[in-house]
Amino acid sequence: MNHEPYESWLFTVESLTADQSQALKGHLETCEACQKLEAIWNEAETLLRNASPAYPTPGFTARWLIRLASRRSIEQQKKMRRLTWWFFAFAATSAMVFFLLSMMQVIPIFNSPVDFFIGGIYLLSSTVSMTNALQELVATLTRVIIQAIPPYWLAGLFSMAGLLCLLWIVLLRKLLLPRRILS
Amino acid sequence: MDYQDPPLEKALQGDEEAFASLVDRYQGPVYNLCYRMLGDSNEAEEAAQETFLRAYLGIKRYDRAKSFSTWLLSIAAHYCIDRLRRRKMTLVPFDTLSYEEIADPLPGPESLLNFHEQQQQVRALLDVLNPTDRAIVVMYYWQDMSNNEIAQALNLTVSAVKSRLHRARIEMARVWRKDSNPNPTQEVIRYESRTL
Repeated sequence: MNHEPYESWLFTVESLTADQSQALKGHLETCEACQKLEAIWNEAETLLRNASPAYPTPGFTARWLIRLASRRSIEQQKKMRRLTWWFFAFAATSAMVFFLLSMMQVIPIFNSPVDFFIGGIYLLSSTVSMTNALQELVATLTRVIIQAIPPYWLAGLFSMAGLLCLLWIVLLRKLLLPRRILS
Repeated sequence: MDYQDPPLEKALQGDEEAFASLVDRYQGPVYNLCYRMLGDSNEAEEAAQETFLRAYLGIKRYDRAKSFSTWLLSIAAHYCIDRLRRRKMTLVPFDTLSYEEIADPLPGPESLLNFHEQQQQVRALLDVLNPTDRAIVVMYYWQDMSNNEIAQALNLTVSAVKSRLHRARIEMARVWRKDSNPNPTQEVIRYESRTL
């Protein structure tokens, strides 16, 4: 016996037309195998439709909130680890660049050490002579100021500077020290 | 479309408390989908929790034009499909999974026995289906979703959903026939071996 298209109609999701329903009904009256198949599928589908839904155990939302907090903490740790790695990479790159630049400065020493030492001695002697010149300038300026300003003015200026320093120290202590909490 | 839903609106702004109320509201359907898909209460709990977590973290990706429950069930279904595919690699027999910890809605030893028997039969039916077909059957029979919604949730076409559901029904009928009628007549054997 030909069971098509009846076997397909038994399992279809679409609704059958009136003619199709009539034809299926007629076929089922004469075909034992299709009758059996229909009964089997009806039983199985009834089971699916009547199966009670499963529910989670009480406290699902509370457990979810705990899980969310835990996931956030893990994410935070990952973020910190990433940041540490970035910092490390930046530091390593900087060190590498510094090393390369230093090498560029050092290499000429190996190429011509005599020139390097002569240059160094020249730099040293010019620094010493510049320091001497500065020292003389400061001494001359001090002498001029002492001669130009009367002694009581100088005493007043130094006293004022001392008082300002004292005020600065007091204010600093007052502002930086933690306030005492009164119970 | 879940317009004018204050908890959802607040959750979309990143309000954790509002999202917790959505977890409260949708925990049943999401857990049931996970349980029917995975067949194990511990795994279902894990999958449902992970579903809500993914939804919360990815709430910015939620398309307001679609239903929120469909979006949630879509996340749950895809997560369970992935889990089932991974499980396939590790070859865990479905029968060995426990189901003692299902929250039983019916009290009493007899009803508990019936409930467990029913769960086992349902599991046997779903076990033969591939993960995607299983998701379609669960959404169709337990979540009362239309073919359109199922297609949307699983990124399939409506005709693919229909043909997969048709195939799944044939598969389930085959399993049910084996369980309920171990000695079929010769005519039925001949017919079923050809059709099922």
